[in-house]
Amino acid sequence: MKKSIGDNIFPERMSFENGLKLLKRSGYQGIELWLGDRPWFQMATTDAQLREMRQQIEDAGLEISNVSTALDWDENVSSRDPAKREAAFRHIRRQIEAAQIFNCDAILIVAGIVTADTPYNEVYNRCVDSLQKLAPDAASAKVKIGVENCCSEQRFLLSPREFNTFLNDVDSRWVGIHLDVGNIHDTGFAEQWIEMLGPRITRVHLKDVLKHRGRCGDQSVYTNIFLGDNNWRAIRDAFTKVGYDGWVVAEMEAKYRYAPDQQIYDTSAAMDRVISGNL
Amino acid sequence: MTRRHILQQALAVPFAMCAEASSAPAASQIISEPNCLSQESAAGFRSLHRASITILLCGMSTLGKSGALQLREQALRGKWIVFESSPLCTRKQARTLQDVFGIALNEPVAASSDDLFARYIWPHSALTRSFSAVIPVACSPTEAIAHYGGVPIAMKRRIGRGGIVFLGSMLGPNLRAEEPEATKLAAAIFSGTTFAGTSTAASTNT
Repeated sequence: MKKSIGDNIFPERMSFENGLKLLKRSGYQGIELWLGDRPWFQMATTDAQLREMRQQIEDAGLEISNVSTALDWDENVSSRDPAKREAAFRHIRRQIEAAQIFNCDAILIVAGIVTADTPYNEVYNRCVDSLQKLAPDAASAKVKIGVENCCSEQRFLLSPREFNTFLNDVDSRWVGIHLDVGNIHDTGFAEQWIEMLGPRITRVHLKDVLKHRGRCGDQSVYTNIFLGDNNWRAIRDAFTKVGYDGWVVAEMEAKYRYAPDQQIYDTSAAMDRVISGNL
Repeated sequence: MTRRHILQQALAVPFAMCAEASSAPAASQIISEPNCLSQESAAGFRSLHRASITILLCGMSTLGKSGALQLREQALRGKWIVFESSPLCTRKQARTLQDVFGIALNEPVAASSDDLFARYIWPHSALTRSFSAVIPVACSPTEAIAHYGGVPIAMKRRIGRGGIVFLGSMLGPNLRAEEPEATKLAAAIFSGTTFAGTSTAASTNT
């Protein structure tokens, strides 16, 4: 397994270059780049600028694990608004192009947001249709689309069995799951998602979850690795069981109030323990 | 009537209520008990192709001595007995296994949420879900084929021209749940080629 963390964890006002140095010092092998989060990687960033970023990352001794985005929360393929759906297609295709430039083979998207006025079945069918349209782009670029399980936030695809059925319906080996082991909350068990979706996992997000908090309170349901309710031994064993040996990417929602760089070091050390199985 | 026919008929009697021939091309035998665990396990195993040299006992808890002696006779003659124990294994069954096959079982251990998987090393390395409780078995390291918490819970032992594979963690329910690793593992166990050196001998004696 290889260790990565998102560029959105860089402390405020830290430059991209210094962020890369920090990751390298902390022991990461890779970086997850978030389209739309930080000034250095926006929709307007040109191919030439992306190539320059790649060079900087390689010069720092790092690889790009995957290209992610939070833009889906505003512009989703399941939206009723055609303009927003078009925008979603644009940024997902841009993620695929960027991944090619970065020489990495996976992107993360959030497909489907169920709301009070956009019902489940409508979202489901629109997502399947959209991913079937995007799959040829992914195939020709040789970049896998990892659909993240943001189960509770999306109110969508809430069980591993249903996620599996969803991927069967999309029916492309270029579309899989970007599995977040912290996103399952109290509706299931991360290790069972790993066991059921093993060969379809494109990348993994690591974080811990405080199951009793839920998503509606004023405190984050997420926390740092080992501080929550995840069964890390079972999760590690499940990765071994299904033969997952790819990138694991830390995603920390709750940030340190002081010494924010320390969170990057601490997370790296915790990830080492997960990877080694020394739990 | 040959001695073999007599033995085959004798074996059929104690298991008459629960034995069935496989619908797979190579006929092996499945023996189950009339309880939900054993039946569920048998349903899982039924989907597998099983080599003709195997006799499979699913989720057993009450095997008696006469049945065990007949199985031993079959093993001596070249069959491989795959014996899956129920976690509700009775003391009588444990004594029978000790007396007839020399397999010493320890008290069942409840599976822990800290360790969810049985770790197989034969026929290949694999992790499968453990099933509520597992039954530790005393055997030599060379006989052990799976461990739970570092303790052997499954073993294989040669008996005459055949042998016995004892499974102290139920595998059939995992097959029913379509667990890929369990399916691959069970398929390898029942392929027949895993029982090295026994296939030819068995085919001339059954």
